[in-house]
Amino acid sequence: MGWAESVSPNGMGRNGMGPNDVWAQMGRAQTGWAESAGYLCNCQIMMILVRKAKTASTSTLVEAVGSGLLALVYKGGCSRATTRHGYIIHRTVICSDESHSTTNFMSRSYPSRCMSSNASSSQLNKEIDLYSKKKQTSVSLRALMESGQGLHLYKLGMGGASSEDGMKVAEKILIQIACFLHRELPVRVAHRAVKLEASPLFMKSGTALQSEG
Amino acid sequence: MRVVFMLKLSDTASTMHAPLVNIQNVCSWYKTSFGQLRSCPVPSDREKEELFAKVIESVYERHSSTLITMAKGAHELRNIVKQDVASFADSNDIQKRLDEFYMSRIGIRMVSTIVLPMIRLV
Repeated sequence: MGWAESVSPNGMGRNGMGPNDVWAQMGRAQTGWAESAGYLCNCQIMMILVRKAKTASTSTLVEAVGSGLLALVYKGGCSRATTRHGYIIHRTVICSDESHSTTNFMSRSYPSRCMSSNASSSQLNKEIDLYSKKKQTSVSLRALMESGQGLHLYKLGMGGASSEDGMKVAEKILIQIACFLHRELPVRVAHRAVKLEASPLFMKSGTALQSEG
Repeated sequence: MRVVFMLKLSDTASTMHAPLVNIQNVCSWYKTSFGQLRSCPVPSDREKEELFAKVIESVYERHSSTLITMAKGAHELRNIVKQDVASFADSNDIQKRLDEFYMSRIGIRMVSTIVLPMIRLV
């Protein structure tokens, strides 16, 4: 597809085009949210394709997804573009809210609190409220790639990539990422739920909308 | 092709009557997923990790139709405020919220996608 071809890993295109050219070339001028939604749809389709292809390594995955996110990042204007390591996206904030901490996402501790599965919905709402006040952790593509390579394992005291215990390095990496997701996903999901619910545009009745103009 | 896609969406959306039921649906998915993620034990070893991966997979599946559902919801919204397509698309507030929503969604999906292919590698 033209999609992958038009965005090279270093982000500038093969002819030394700037980001705006890349964007224009893809013919997806921002003409409204529907357009952006369609664009994001493409991006997600690509991500699913990558997933289906059972990529050989995480870094390949990150690379593929990274180039896909490129134009998105330009559009959002939230990236400090750099061509270091051949990736235009060095410090990409993958979640879009302002409330980010930029703490290194692999070095945090992981509290283990479990909620009983038959919790009532009011309890659930309370939990969601609580979690929506926590900060989301932004993850750079680079950090994802490096943790996929096991470069962050030492931060959990799990030993370096060359430890002697029985566990395979790949397993450790997997568990490390899973632990991170276990902590991070509820926070992000809670942010989504609360923002959707709190938005007067989305939740109130038609009359309220009209008076708001 | 995209126009056809959007037209098809509009058709299905016009059959909906309850106000903004689609967006409320999306919201309830998030709540369900939240509960599911919270009740899952910390993936500290291989078995728990596999369990967690299953949870992520089911969350991923649950939200797979978010895009279409949100589009339906936006259409509903447009009908309620009775704006034409152009002025609706120009509405800054709606743009901002939808942008934020989709960016966040793609972020969530991206980080959770990382763990799924890795399971099959180990």
